[in-house]
Amino acid sequence: MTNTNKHLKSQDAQEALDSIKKMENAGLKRIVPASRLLGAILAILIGTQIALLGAGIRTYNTILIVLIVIMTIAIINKNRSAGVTERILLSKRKIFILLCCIIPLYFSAIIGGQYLHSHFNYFWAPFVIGGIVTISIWSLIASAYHSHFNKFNKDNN
Amino acid sequence: MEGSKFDTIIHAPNRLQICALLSPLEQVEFRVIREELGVSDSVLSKHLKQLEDVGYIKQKKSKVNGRERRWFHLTAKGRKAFELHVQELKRIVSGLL
Repeated sequence: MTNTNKHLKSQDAQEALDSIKKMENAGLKRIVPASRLLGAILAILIGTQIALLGAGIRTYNTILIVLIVIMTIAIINKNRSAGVTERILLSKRKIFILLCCIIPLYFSAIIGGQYLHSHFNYFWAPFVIGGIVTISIWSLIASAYHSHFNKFNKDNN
Repeated sequence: MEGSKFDTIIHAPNRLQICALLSPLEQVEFRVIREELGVSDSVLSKHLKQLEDVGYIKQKKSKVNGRERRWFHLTAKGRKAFELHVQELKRIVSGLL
C-alpha cells in the first residue's frame, strides 16, 4: 500500500513538473523580442544626434529627441502588446550602475566629437563617433534578438 | 533539496500553472493567462484571488486605448514559495524521502 501511494505520489509529482515546464515554455514563447527594425531606427537616431551635436549642428536636436522618445515608447509598447513582459534579472542597483556608465559615455561621445572637431579640425570625427555609437547600439539589439531565439532552439532540442 | 516545502495553495493544477507561467516573466496580462490555461474568466479570477490573498501574486491595472488591462506578477514571497514547491516535487520524483 505504501509503495502504491509512493508510486502515485511520485507520478503525480512528475506530471506536475511536466506541466510546470510546459507553462514556463508557453510563457517564454510569448515574449516578443526587441524589433530589429525599430532598434535600427533608434540606433540611427541616437548616432545622428551624437554626430550632429558633436559637429555643433543643433538645428535638428529637438526633433531628434522627440523621435528618440517616440521610438523608445514604440519599442516598449510593441513588447507589451504580446501581453507579457520579460523578466529583467538585473537588480535595481545594477541597473543604476549601468545607467551611471551609459549616461557619461553618451555625453563623452558628444564632447569628444566637439573637441576633435574644434581643436584638430577633424570635421569627420563626430560622424565617425556617431557611426560607432549606432553600430554599438544595433549590435546590442541584434545580439539580444539572436540570444532570444537561440534560447528557444536550445530548449526545443 | 534542503528547505523544500509542499505548498497546498500552489499545488492545485490551475494555480500551479499560473505560477509556472508567471515565474520566468516580469508580468503577464489576464487574457494571456486565460488563453494558456483555457479556463473561463470567472474560474481564473477565483484562482488569481486565492493567490493574491496569500500574497503570492500582485496585480497592476493599466489603460490602453480606454480599455482596462490587468497585469499579474509573482511577489518575492510567491516566487520563493513556488521555488520551494518545485524543489519538493523534484524531491518526491527522485525518491529522496
